[in-house]
Amino acid sequence: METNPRANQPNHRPLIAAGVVIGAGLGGFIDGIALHQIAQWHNMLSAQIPVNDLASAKTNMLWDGLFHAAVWVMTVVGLAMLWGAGSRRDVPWSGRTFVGGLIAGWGLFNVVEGLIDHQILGLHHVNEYSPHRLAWDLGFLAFGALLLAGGWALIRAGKRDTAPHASVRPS
Amino acid sequence: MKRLVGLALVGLLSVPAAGACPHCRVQAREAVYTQTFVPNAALLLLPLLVIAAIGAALYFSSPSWAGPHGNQPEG
Repeated sequence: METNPRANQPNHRPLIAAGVVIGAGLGGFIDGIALHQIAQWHNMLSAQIPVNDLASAKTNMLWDGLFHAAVWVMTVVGLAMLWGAGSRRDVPWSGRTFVGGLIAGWGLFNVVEGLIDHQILGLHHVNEYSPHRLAWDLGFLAFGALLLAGGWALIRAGKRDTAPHASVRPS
Repeated sequence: MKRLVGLALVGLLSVPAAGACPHCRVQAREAVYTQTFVPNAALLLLPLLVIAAIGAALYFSSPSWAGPHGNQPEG
């Protein structure tokens, strides 16, 4: 009888996926809190509905709220994925894999959001009030790519970690 | 005394916020919750949907053949 050689393979993907989804959710919170609310460089629709009176500010604020609600859901889903990964014997419990996933997730958020919202749909730009809006947008994308590369390097280093989570180790 | 001053400040600063343009709030809600709300929301949340799809694909995909040190399994 043939055995499936994949059955005993360590599977890092569920932990990477959990890290990526949580990292993207937290990256969304960083964008929303630091750039929308504290620095007030842009809002969700500020290139389409410029914030120049209270009504337009409130419309943007409402869409910002919906964006925050969505990244909150994403973070919760990522936590559920992390819980699932932690209870599996085939998933090595590696801090490097998870942190690599978190960093890659933040980078993925910047790249995907930057390409779709900034470049393709033109909903807003990183620094709406700067004369060099394109430079800020490209910097945001470059920072995202840098995070993706750093996360990927950490995930690769974590492939050497093979110990399963303590609660699912065979006694 | 400090508490009283703090409470007075909170009260003082909250007055303009609480009374700020109630009709602007209504105007904003009316501008957002229209018949095109669902397609608009889907468009706005498109980047998050793309990332969620990537995460789900990664979570449910089978592990690669490369072993923990990048070696191929024998046999």
